[in-house]
Amino acid sequence: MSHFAEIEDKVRAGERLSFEDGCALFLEPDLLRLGMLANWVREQRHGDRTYFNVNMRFEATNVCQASCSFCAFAKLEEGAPNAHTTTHEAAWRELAEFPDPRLSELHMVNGLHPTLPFEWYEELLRGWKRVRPQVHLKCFTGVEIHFFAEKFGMSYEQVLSRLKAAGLGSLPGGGGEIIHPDVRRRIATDKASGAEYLAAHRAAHALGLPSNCTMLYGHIETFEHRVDHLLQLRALQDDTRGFQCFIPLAFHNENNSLRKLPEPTAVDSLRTLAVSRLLLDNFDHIKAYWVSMGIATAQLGLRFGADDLDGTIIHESIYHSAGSRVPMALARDELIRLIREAGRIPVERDTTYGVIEELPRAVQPEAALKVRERFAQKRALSVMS
Amino acid sequence: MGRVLSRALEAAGLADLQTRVLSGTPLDEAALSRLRDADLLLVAGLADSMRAHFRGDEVRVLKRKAEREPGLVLFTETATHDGRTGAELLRELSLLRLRTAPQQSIAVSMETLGLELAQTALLFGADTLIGDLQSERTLPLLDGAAARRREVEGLVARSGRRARFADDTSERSAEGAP
Repeated sequence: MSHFAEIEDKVRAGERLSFEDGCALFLEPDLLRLGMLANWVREQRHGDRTYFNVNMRFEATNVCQASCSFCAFAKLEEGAPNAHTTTHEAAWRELAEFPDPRLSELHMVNGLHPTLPFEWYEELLRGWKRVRPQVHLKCFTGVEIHFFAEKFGMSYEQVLSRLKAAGLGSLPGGGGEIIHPDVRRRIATDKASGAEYLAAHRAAHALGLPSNCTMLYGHIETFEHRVDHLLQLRALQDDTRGFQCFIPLAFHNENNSLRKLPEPTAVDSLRTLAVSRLLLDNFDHIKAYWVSMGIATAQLGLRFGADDLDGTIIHESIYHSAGSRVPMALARDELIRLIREAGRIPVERDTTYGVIEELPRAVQPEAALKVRERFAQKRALSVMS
Repeated sequence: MGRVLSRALEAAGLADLQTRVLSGTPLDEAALSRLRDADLLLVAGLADSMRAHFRGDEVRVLKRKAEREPGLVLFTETATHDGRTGAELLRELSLLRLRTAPQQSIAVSMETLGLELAQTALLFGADTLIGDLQSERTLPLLDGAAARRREVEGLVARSGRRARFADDTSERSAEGAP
């Protein structure tokens, strides 16, 4: 029996996959059968239901004392070209004036600002809760939580408790990069280690704050590093059950010091989604983040293990600084169309996966009908002979 | 593909189509209609089986003017922001593979489809990439044909296949008409 067949049997029997299994899946030459197996798991959990939300991104500051080699977003100090730090008033106004009444989440990720006081962040959250109390605040990565703890002399629990009291609802997953120290010390040497990233999430979960987690793939890491990363997340999830969602993030190579490396391809992105779905047997959700992997690949990802496309986003800066060419935002209708045309059922969710609205599936994809008409008219293909 | 595909096809009531595809019989409209709303990866799996069985793992990379090569079937549809999405486009590509004579080469254009979808198309029944490596319209972000060639080579290799670049003359003499 081949190793893949053994893995398939384990998956269908609900048995946990090993490190060696994960490595074999990353090397599996037949991507379609890998995708089918991941899709089977995905459909066992969610059927055709596919999640999205109406959210906005916000970056309060891109001033950051860390110098990660893959990052094109951060500026080392105030006053540097394109460095910016928002004011409270501007941040509150942006949320207050956000035109879509369906907005359910504000997702904030920041640089590690060297001089802003902790109270500044607390007041930022409190102000947002004053202007739009129903919007969930998903703010501060595990790396930021670690930075606050070190800088302000507090424990993770103290940092998180104060932010929670100010309105924090959950943590985003950013900052995971690659947990293994052999990689992390080469790409992200001066911020939270992998162990500290995990510890910050553990502390959040203990306080009842759910979080997401990520993996930045496609740069200098090996498949073994990816599997190690996924298994460390799985182990923490066994302990806390606090992760809601795993999000693989594709490396982008513009405007950073890793620009000579090729970016991961669509095939690598689909493979990574599929292996993640198979290894993370205690995660409810795997996200195909369209900003990171591109819209077309993210949509295909819904057949390779992913069950979530993220949201409308609005104003994403981190990936766009590194060369992402996807739009800054996707309209809710566009997300629904992408999900329907992948043959799935769109489900608008809130941050914690509460269902806001489940929409009907497409009877027949509208665009597909257009294509078929055109194909019929043009005899479907052009044989150039 | 093996057991995973067979099992999934059987569960979907489509197992008979695999036999037909591997016997080299292009699917007729009645068979294709059964695949219109089938799981996308099932359709891709059938098309990829046909491609692997009859065309092998080699991916030819041809210049744009080779679109006129005898027997080359060019997939001409493209994704648009307001029209078709990538998933639907790839389904149509797989259906094209399944209704075409199995020895025929099916090509996608890197220029019109975009690299991301062109690479993925290799899993959905395509065996040939069209794009002029001298042209900035193919991989506009890379300088020079050599860099573009390396990039395409890598894309093909990372989809589990091997690329063969050919100028029009050598390609015609090597392949001829099907």
